[in-house]
Amino acid sequence: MTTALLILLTAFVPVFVQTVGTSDPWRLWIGEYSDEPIQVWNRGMRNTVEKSGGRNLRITGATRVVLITPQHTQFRLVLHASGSSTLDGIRIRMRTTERDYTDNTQGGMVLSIDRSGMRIEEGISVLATADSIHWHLGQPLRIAIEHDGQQTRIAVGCTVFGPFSTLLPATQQTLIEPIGGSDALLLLDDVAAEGINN
Amino acid sequence: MNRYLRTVTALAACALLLGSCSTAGLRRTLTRTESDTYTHIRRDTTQTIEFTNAPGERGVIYPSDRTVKTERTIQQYDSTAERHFPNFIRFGVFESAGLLATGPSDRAVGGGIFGIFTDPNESFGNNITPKSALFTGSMYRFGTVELPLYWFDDAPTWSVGTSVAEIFQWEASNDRAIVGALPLYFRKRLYVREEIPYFCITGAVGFGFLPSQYLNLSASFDAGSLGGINVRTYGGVLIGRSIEQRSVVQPYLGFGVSLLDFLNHPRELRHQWKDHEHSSWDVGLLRLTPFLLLSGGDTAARGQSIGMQLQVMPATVGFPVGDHRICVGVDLWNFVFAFRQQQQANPGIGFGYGVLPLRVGYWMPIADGALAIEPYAMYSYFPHSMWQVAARLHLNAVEWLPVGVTLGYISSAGFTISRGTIGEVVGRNILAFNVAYLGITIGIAEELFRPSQLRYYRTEQ
Repeated sequence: MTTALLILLTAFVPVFVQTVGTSDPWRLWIGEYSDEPIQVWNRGMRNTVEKSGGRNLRITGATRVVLITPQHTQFRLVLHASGSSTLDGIRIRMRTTERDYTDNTQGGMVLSIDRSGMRIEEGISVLATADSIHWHLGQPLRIAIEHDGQQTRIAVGCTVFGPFSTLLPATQQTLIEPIGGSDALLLLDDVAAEGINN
Repeated sequence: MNRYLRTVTALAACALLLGSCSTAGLRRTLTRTESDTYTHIRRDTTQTIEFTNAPGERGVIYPSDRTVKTERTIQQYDSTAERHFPNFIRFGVFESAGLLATGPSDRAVGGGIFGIFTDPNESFGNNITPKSALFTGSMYRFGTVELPLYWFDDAPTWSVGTSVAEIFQWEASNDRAIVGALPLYFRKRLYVREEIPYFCITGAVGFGFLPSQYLNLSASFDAGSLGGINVRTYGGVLIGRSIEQRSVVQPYLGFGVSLLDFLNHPRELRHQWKDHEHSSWDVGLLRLTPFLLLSGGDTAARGQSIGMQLQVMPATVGFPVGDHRICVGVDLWNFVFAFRQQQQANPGIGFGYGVLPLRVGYWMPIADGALAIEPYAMYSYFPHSMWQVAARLHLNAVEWLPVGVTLGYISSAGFTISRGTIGEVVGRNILAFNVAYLGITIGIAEELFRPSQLRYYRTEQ
C-alpha cells in the first residue's frame, strides 16, 4: 500500500510541475460555460483584476485588461461600465492587439469617455466627439461595439456612432483601461460577445 | 545499489517517454506561444463602361449605347502572428557536486571537488572502494526542469521543479545513499547580480518519494549560466530514509558544476526566443568526430587507421575580451579512441579521456555565422594529461545537427587501469599516443550561434 502511494506520488510530480508551472494566472475566463467565452488577460499586477461574477470583472488601479474573443475577429461586444468616485473614465482600444499596442506598432481605434465628454479616434484622426456623453458617478454606461468587416460601429447608451470605415484589421482583442489613479475602481458587468458571420 | 539504479533508470526512462514522447511535448513545456489573429478585409468596386456607338454621323443628341458593368469584391483573409517565449526558469541536463565531511574521511567516494573526478578504475561503474579524501561524498542530478511558480501574491523568483533523478552518495557505501526519482522541489532565488552571468542565492525545499523518502532543505550560491555552465556552492540538510531504509539526517556542504544547464531570470520569460540573449558560440549535447590518422597510429597496421573523438556536452563561450571571438570552452567528458594495435596477443589501445577539459580558441564566423573556423587548444588534466591542438570548420547545415571538418594533433600521456568499466569496454592495455588526424565532426543536439544572436554584439549595436 505504501509503495503504491509512493509510486503514485512520484508519478504525480511531473504532472503537478507541468500543470502549475505552465499555468498563466494573468489569464482568466468569463462566460466560460457559454457558447462565446471571453478570455481576460490582465496586464497589470495580479490582484488588480478580479472576476466578480460569471460575466463581471472588478478592475482596480491603473492597469489594462485585454478581452479576447478566441473564436472571432468580427464580433459584437457589449458591457456595462461603472465605477467608484475616483474613477475618471474608461478608454477602450479596438482593432489592435496588446502586443501591437505595447510595441507601438498599432494603436488601433480608441474610444475614450471621461468627465469632459466622449471621443472616438483613430491615430491622429478624430472620428467622433460628443460632449453630451460623460462619465458620471453612479450612472452605468452601456457600451456596445460591432466590428463588421472594414466597418466599426460603437454605441454608448442609446447613441450609435459610425459605421466608421477603417483599414485596420479586425482582431480578437479589445483593450480596456480605467482612467484614474491607483485607487480607481472600474466594474464591468454583463460582458458578452457574439460573432458576426459575413 | 544496482537494483536501485535500475529502478531509477527505469523510472527516468518512463518519465522521459511519457513527458516528451516527442520533442513537441518538451517544447510545449519549455516554450510559451502567444498568437494574435488578424482579419484583413478589402472591399473593391470596379466599374467597366463600354460605349458601342453606331457608325456614321448621328449628331450630338443621338443616344449612344453605353453598358456599365459594376463588380464589387470583398477580399477577406486571416493572418496569425505567433510569438514564442521561454517558459522555464531552469532547464538542466547534468549537475554534480563534491560534498565535504559527509562521512568518515577514510571512506570517501573520491569524486573530488565537483564529484566527477573519479578514479578511472571506478569511473562509470558502481563498484566504489573507500578511499581517503577531503570531499567524502558526491551529489548528482539529471534532467532538471524548473518552471515559474506564482504564489504568495506574486512573490517573484519562485519556481517549482523536478529532476529525472538525483543521487546523494555520502560515502563509499550504499547504506546511507539517498536516491530520488522525480523529486519535487520548490525554490526561491535572491539575485545578487541581475545581469548575465547571474549570481544568486537559492533556497530550496525538496521532497523525494521513491526509492528513498526524504526532505532536502538546502541553500546554494549559484553563478551562471553562461553557455549552460554553472558553478555552485551548496549547503543543506537532508532528512529521510536511504535506499537501504536506514534513517539519515545528513548536513552537507559542497561545490558543484553543471553543464547544459540554462537559467532564465523571470524577466527573460517575457522576451521572445528570437530576442533571447546568448553568451556562447556553440552549445551541444554530443559532438562526434570520427577521424583518419595521418600519423602516429599503430606502426604494424597495414591500412589506414580510423579513430574517434567524443565530446560530451561541449560548450564554447565568448570570452569578454576584445571582439569576443576569443572563446573558452569546456566539455563534461572528452574521449579519444586513437587506435587499437593489431597482430598482438594483448593489443594496446591508444585511448585517453578527460573530465572537464579546458579549451581556448578563436572563433571566426563566416557568412554571418553560417560557417565558422575555430582554431583551438584543449588540455585535459584529469585523470591523465592529454592535450590537443586543432582547427575546425563548423557548418551550420541542419538545425541542431551541425557538421564540420577537423584537422588536429592529440598527445596523450596514457594511464594505467586494472579494473572497472573503462577496462571492460576499451581494454586494459592503454597506451600513450601522439597522433595527427583529419576528421568529420557531427554535432548532436548542438546549436551554433551567429554573431547577431550573441548579447555582446547586440549591446554594441
